[in-house]
Amino acid sequence: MTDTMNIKKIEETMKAKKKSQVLEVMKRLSYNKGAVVGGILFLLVLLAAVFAPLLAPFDYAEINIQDRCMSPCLAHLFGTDQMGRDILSRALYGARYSMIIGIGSVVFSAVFGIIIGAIAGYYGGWLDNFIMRLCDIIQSIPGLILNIALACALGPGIFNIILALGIEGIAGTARLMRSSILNVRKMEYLDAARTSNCGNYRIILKHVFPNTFAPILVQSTMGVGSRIMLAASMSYVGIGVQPPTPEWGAMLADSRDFLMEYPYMCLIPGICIMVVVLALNLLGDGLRDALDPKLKK
Amino acid sequence: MGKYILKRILLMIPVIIGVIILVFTLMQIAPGDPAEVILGMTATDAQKEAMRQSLGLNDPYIVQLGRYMSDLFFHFDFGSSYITGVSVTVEMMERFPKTLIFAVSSMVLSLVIGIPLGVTAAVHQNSVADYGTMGLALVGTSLPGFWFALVLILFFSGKLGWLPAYGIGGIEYWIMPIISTAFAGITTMARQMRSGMLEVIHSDYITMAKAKGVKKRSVIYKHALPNALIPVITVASMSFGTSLGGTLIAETIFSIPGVGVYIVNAVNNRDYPVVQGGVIILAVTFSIIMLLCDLLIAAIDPRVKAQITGGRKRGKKK
Repeated sequence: MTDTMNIKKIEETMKAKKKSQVLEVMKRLSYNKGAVVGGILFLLVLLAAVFAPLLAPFDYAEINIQDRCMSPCLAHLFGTDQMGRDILSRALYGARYSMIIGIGSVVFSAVFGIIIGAIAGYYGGWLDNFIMRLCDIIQSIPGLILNIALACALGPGIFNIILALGIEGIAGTARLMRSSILNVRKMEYLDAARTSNCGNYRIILKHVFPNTFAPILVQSTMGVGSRIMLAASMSYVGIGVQPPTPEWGAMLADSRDFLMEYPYMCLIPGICIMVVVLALNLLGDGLRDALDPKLKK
Repeated sequence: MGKYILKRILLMIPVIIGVIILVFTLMQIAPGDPAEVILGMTATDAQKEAMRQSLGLNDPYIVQLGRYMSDLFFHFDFGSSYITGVSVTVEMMERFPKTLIFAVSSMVLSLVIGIPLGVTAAVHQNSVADYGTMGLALVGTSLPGFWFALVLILFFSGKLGWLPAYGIGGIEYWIMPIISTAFAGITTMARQMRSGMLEVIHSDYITMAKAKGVKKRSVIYKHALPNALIPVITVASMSFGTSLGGTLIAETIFSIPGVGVYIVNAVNNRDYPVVQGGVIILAVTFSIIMLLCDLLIAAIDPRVKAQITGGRKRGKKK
């Protein structure tokens, strides 16, 4: 009877501790002004992406030749493009595409990177060697160039862009995961877990993974921003999302011929990209500081 | 040291072979029929079949890979473009120097501007200069390079008319492309230099030097800077890869006939031998730069040098 009560008590304190850890990180994050600003900006863009159909004043694909090339005014806050499409509505839908590409590809590389990195780091031996040499090969091709080769192999389209960006990121995430696992592997609490007869999967999932999570989270947060930027540059040169899809890079590609006459057409999608990437960088920086136990007092 | 250099060069060979196999395989699974790309939509099935036969596209994957590798290693032959029929090697010889000069100068520019910025920020920590540099660095890492290039064109060619918007020629044609590609590098270097410098400044030997009465200038430039520079070399070699990617986009924007434009056009035209050759050349260039940086670190960092030339950790890779 007392035994079960004790176990219950221990479980309760463990739960409380877990909760407080998240709260602790959130609290430290809230002290960082940059991170708060970044977080709010990112949330706003995310909301804009989700509620684009409700927020957009016009249909993003509606062509209205009479109203073409209108500078920003009250009816069209961001102006209209060379086909009379409302740029604000297109920018709002663009947030959707960019978010899907950024988050989708990061989730893809995180899932596969973590699994592959965990296998390499935890089991070691020839498998580790093989995986790491494969990562060497992938990482010896500069990121954007590998992405272009992958996009070429997979063909155009949003799903393929996500796949290309995701595959490219696997090597980096796997390497990071492996090195964190190697750090954790020497820890005594793993010996303790092993002596208490934990299986490999349980050790990896319950003991190793939570302790390697922080660097992956920081890398992924910043990764979303850099993927959005990469996808936009690929779309700009015609290898990514194709116009007339209102992805920000494709919008830029679509309006580059009007750069001199109607600069706002090119400026607005670029500013959108910059705001999102800036927000994610601020948030990532803040997360790194908040999660770093060395700064804990 | 000589043994270490040789070992590192030998270790690069399997990586390069891996890159070739990877890129070749990617182009194999790419959609589209090369025979149709060469002959056009109007060709009959028999003509396409004959073309496939003559290109050896009907052979098994491994035979094609072997042929590609042996052409590449023994004759330095990347095959010919499907569209123009011109040898990829010949075209590369023409284009590669431009891309290399472009990428190297933007890396040099980012080092020349980024390092002093980072040092100033670290030495005057929490001052206006520090906040200014870090603010700039934050904006710089969030700025899409190709968009920055467009803004530069809009301002310096459109509004002011100082610089030509595209094409190649004298030095004035290179200013905007190099600045737009280097901008991200400048901010990366400044950030890295600042954090490296801050770490070094708070170490004991700097306190020791100050206590000895060494002048402040001398403490910073002779004691702190060389130690803080070493991690920057690694970052610089990594950011060379970003530069190579950046040149690819910038070449398209500024119409510079380099490897980048060649690859981008080839992807849009499904001209696979060109994509294959271009990606391999850029990847090998990147590997060589990484190797040179590693060797540079081994040569100048006594700690790494000691690991290589003496002690139990002989020959251990850094």
